Amino acid sequence: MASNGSMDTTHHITPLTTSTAGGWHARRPVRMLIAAGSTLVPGSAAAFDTTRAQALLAVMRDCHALMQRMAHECDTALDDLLRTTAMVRIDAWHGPAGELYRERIRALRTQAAIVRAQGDVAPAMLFGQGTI
Amino acid sequence: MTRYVTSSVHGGSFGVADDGAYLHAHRTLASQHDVLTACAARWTRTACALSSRRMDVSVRFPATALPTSTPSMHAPDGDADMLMHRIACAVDACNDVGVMVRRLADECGRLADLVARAWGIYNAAESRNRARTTKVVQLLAKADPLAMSVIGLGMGLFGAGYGYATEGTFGVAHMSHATSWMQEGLLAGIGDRMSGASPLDTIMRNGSGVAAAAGRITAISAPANDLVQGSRLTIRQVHALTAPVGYADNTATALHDLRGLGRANADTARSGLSYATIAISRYARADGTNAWLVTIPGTDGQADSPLGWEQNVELMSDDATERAHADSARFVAEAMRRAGVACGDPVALIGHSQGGIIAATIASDYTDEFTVGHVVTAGSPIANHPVAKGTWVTSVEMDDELVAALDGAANPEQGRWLTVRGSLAHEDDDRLLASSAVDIAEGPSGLTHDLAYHEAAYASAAQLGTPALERHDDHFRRTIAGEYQGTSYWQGRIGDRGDEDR
Repeated sequence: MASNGSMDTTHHITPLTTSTAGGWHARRPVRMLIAAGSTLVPGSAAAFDTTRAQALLAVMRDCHALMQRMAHECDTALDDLLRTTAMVRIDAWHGPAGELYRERIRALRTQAAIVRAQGDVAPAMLFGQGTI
Repeated sequence: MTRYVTSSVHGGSFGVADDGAYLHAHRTLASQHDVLTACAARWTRTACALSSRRMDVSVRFPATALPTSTPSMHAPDGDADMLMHRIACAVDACNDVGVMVRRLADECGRLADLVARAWGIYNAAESRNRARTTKVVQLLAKADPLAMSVIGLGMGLFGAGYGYATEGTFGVAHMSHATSWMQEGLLAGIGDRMSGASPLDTIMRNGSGVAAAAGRITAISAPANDLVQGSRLTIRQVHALTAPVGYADNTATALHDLRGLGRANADTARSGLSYATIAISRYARADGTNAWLVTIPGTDGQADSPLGWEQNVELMSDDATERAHADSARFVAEAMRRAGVACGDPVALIGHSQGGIIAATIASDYTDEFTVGHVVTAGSPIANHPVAKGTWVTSVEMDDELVAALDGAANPEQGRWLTVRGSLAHEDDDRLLASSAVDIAEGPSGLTHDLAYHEAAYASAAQLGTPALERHDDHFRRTIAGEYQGTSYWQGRIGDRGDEDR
């Protein structure tokens, strides 16, 4: 877990991840992708595959960074919501509206905690066991 | 079709502590609404960005666009498909989280709105806008009352036409609704014109012209009415077969009883009561004295009733003597004397329409005789009444009822004078505690001067738990605090025989 409490899924990004996750790896040998110089024109099928894999890996890293950044921003906003709504009590407010207000504030805070957790795991969707 | 009323509270007083708590909560929730709305939008943008990357992958690796039944030459194509699938899952996740965050934002907005309405945070601005509109219309009406009247009539006919198109009825209610924004200003301007108010008066004052005009009319109409209707007041105690007015310990119950009295007066066979009957309830206090609640219905327009149409004009005069000598005010004052209301006894008066004007008149012009602690009016034009400083006033008005606008001015917004302003609401209003249903038979739209609308307006305001309204309700409760001793009913008649007035 990162220091801000969000789930850090960066370490999941490896060539192995891109080549083995999902249902495809059962149909072909699992192999590590070896980094190739991106400036080189592939001279063989193997080199061509490596280049493609690295391009895919870059895309995935980019997507993951995007989601991580968003999850972090969302965490900050929801933490602020949880912090500030703890201080919006209006004790003098009586009657149905006051009761409703307090109940809805409680529900709002609970929901915010759930959404925060959802936001934290959203980047992990990039590494999920999906089917094509 | 069930009708709904939503309300706002104007005037009254707040405690400083309440102010701070409400204001802080409102600001916090409104701010969180903005922050979370932006956050939700960023999730959506993230989803869009991921989608564009997915499209980029599909373009850069076109083989992946082929059906999976077509074998690919290169194994990595499978990785591209997988990546596209995962990005699609991530897009869904972003959208899902965005929707959830947006729901949180909406909830913050709803809660902020609830706090704002309960605290009346926008009501001052609303009152200012309304006052400006009224003033402009007043000035125009003073300058050319005929032209403004024609415009008003045109607006009214347009509203009636709209009502015919939507409900199939060509009713006055729609005319009144369409002209609600200009009623007060129009009447104030016409009043200024009739009373010969100076331009400075027109600018500086709101309804004084109406009161002055009513005074001028009364100088002629009151003697004429005395000739036609007579001026001898007959009052007798009557006994009700039912109990339309009972123990009340809050404003809502008293309003409900007021409505019950009006219905009982109209249903003689069942209630044993008749028109122009008021109710006086006695509450014994611990110190041996009594508190009183006087319930006064509105105009009935019967030929021998002290609660006739003409008395309305007398009650709205700027002349205290004319007001105090209106048949209806004399009737209620005399009934109170006979019921045993003593000089120092705390009295609360509640009235609908003319009943409310009578209540305000007694609180203004019978101060030597009665100690009126609290007045509750429903649909009564009493803004120009010089209600005694020690008297609290709770007014309930519908914004499109013409009657409450007849004073040509908005009620003063003071700590002791609170106005609940109701307006018709949409059934699908999704705000929290947005409105209250009107307890009225279904059918074509009727005039909102019906007490059922005022009752719903007060209920709508009360459910918000506004501190200012609670203070007024609490004051009303304390004014009549005591052990309920029963209610007596007093019937008034005007004619040429049996003068039993003071």
